Amino acid sequence: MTTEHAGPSHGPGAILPDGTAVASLIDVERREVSLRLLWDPDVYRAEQRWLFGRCWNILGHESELPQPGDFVVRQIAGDAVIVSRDRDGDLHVVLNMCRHRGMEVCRSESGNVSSFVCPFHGWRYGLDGHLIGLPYQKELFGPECDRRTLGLRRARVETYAGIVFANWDPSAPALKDYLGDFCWYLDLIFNRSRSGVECVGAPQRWVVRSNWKLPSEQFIGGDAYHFTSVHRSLVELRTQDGDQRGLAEALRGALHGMSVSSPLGHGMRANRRRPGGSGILAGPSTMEASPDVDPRTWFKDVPPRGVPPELVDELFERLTPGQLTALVTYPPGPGGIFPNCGFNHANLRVHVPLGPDRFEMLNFVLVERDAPASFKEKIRKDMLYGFGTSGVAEQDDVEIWCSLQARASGYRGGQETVSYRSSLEVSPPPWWPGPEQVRVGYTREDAAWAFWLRYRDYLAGQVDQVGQRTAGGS
Amino acid sequence: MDRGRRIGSCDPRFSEVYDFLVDEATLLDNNHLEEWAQLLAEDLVYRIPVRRILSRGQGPPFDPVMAHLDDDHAAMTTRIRRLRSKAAWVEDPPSIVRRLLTNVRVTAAESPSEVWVQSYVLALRSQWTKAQFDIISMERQDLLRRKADSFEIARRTVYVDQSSLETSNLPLFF
Repeated sequence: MTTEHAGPSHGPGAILPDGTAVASLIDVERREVSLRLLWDPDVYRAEQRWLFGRCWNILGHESELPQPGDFVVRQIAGDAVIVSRDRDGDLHVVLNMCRHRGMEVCRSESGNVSSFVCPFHGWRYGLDGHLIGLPYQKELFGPECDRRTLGLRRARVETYAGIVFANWDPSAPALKDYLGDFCWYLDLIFNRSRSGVECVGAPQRWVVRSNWKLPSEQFIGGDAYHFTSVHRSLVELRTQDGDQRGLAEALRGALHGMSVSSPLGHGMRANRRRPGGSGILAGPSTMEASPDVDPRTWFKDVPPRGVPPELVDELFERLTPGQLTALVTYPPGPGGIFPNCGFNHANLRVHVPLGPDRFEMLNFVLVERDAPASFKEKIRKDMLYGFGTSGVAEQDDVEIWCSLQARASGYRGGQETVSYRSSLEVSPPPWWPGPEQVRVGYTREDAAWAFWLRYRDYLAGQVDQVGQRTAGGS
Repeated sequence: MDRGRRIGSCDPRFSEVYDFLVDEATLLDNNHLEEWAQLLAEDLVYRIPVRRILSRGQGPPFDPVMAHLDDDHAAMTTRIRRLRSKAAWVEDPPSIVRRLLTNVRVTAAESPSEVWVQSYVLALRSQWTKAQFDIISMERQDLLRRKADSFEIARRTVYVDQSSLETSNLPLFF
């Protein structure tokens, strides 16, 4: 398991002031991670350069910007960026900083404009970031001043299923290669209908006092283990409400399922539907969800979560037979896109770092654009109830991250390591049609560990242009 | 605000409303959630919409659909039941919250049995042994309905003063 990642490095990558390589804080042999990665400001500085400066960062969804001139301001690890739509309908992402003296050119968080004007000296930029107005240009800067070289700093922009990604690195792989085979699974949630998903209103935002990697690793790792303790209260309620399976059985059901992990750092959890229910995560069913079940019959009884009956036919246009089988047997649960995005059904969130010990949660609700209004409303309410600022599940998750962060910031605690030893062989069912590393059984820590290995690749500078490992890759 | 005729602070009806709000805040501050839930109307709509920082003339400051919380009576009472279960870690040990209530304005509603109430609340949240308080500053707009010799809360909208809340989670009610 470990040898495939232990190849020779192309260079030391990020080095901390005391000479420690950030990559060395992840012990590949012992599957341990140093808590220094959570509190050290120099690690955060290294992440800004080696990770967030080179990976694809999620900023929002296209449906937030339906009209030309629409914009939102978002953050990439401490930098404010403007996401805008120009007159031709193209999306742009630029650094929110005037090229003249560094002032912000946009001071609101969303709106519709024809240009961005710097309040300091009045430099004016178009929706694509080009400098289109330079007051007193001739008098102050002379005739040879070339405005074309003075546009706002641009990032690359690409979208997947309308989700807007930006990348500062001109040599980074295309988004398609960055997501790789994991799109096969993402399609099951975000790319399964003709019109696709749209964003409900503005995202929730709130500040969590923990390192961004704690939630990110947990979503990507599809951590079902925590469910049995952190979210025990939800199971208790169901039991009180007449769920006959009893607490122990319900908790055990949550543990058994499938984990998907990508060598590119993405990951997801899925639970199988069984008669009587295979746990709170997948929900009950009246039929055995075997690969032999006809998806049309199945979806009549149990449409995929977030898909109204009206749109079920579109699944058959958009998805392959293999993907439909996956949707019947192991419908997608919580997961994440490397490095700092988590998703759970209609809920997509970005853990935007604000430093080593704080991040801003940027929390979107995505719904099928063509779903009836009442259906969208139900999804929105369900999501707000369970997840987000006041979500009855998320409240307790946040508590874990903050408490853990507080202890990791101690002198002795900050030198401790945490382990990810619980491991399972790659074991897809023989009929499983999907790609990536698939493990079926009781939840283990392999997918979370895959996050750390990919993190290590970036901090070691071992990511080449196609996004694969440059050394020792599998 | 100004939905109807102002009910000034010298009006006895104002005092009734004010006493109700203070009693209600006291129940919440003391974590008497079940008693507080008794004050909620069956047709309750309780919302905390998401604030947006927009330039002047760029639309209303609160998102029309997205919220930090958007509950009816059933959802609210289930939340409270959950907070009372053995594994609701977020409020065990409970936050210590002080709801400072001020700037109360009462106006008549369409129905004579109801009044609109605007109030400012500064909630200070202290949690475990953390040195700093979380400060949640807000305006509330309530529709209160007469019930016996008191009121029940038919509608409450909490307009928070930050677009990005500086508290790690929101298991609290205001």
